[in-house]
Amino acid sequence: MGTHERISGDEYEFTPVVKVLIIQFGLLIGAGVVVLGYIAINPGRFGDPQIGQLLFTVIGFLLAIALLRILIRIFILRRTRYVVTPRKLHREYELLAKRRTREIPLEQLRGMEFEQGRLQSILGFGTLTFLTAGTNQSLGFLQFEHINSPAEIRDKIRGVSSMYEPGADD
Amino acid sequence: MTRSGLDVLRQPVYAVLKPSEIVQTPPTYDAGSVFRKVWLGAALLVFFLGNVLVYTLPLSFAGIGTVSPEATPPAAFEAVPLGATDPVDAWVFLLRVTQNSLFLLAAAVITFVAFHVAVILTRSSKGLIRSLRVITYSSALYLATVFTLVWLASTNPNVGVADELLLSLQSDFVYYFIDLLGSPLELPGGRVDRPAPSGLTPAGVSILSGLAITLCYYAYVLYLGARKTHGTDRIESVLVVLFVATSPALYVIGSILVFEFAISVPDLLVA
Repeated sequence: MGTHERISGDEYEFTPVVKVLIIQFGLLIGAGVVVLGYIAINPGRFGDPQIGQLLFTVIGFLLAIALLRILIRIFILRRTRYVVTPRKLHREYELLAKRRTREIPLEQLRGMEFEQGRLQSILGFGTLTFLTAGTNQSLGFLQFEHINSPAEIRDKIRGVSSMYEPGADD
Repeated sequence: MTRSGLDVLRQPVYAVLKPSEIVQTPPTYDAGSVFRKVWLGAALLVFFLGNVLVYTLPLSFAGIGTVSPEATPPAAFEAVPLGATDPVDAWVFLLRVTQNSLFLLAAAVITFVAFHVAVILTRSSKGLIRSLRVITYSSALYLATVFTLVWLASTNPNVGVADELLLSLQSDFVYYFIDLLGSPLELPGGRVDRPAPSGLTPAGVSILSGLAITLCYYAYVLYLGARKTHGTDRIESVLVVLFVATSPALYVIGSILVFEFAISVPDLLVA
């Protein structure tokens, strides 16, 4: 989980950390068990047992969806890798024989955004967003989500981008 | 704006698992000339009206909608060749489509106005087209689902208590404001007594649960819409949703005041 690896020279490859999502998953399950358990034990607390059943169904469904979303996120992030080369930043993941990649040439890099949620901040993880000069309807950004030691990676990218010279080999 | 067939098939999955995809708008979505903005607005309206028809046609075919066949105008008999179909049936069907569409259309328009006003009040508005896109897509999915569930409750005999519960909630809501404003207005059905929830069948609980879940999703999508299309922060987005949530109350208050005003104007003229 969350490996940093130098491929060669100034090329780095690393994977996102899913620890934050696993903690979120655990907290959500804990909260869900408490709330749903309370409703199940005290169905008459809400005026009528049928209302209790209704609340149980609604909260249970929303909780299940939230947990499923986190699981999908973990599943995707476990198959995601980020690559930094002297020419480009690259993000790709493979899912069920389907590969999706997104990359931006460093020459188009216009800025970096560093973001840390509360949990990420406590655990030392973060998300780097690379802003590009987007054209037409392109989104104009690339995200390295849930990365370990984001400051270190940011420095590496600054290092390779300052070394970048147009026309250098990929 | 163009979406492939696969994208259309993905919409129900996105609607449940990734609502942000429903309202995600590229940064340069509405950039460009006024002509492009008008074109985008028109495309969104066509998309929305198409969805309204997709929603109302099955309901109307199923005979949902209260219309009077006695009121068929003579023109309907002339317009529809008697050999092709029954003009009374055709007229009743047309009225049902109109009636069923109007409910969804009115709710979407009210939500759109409330949403955009709220976004303007937070000083985050990035344009009318973006709000239109949020409401078009979210209403076509979630609001249509809410209406379908309400119709199901009103037409299925197994969920009579759920239907009565919904009617009583609506009645209580409207009468709260009627009483608050001291208006003599009476609803056609009068005050509806709240049934005992113990009479709810499992199907009734399922419909009410579905309704509550869809409303939660709708509120969440409006929150995401404000965040992702207008760039509001979390608190501003919550305020936008709260403002939209008050729009039914504003609508009811406005309707009561219009009723009061309509009564008082002839009095003034007589005086």
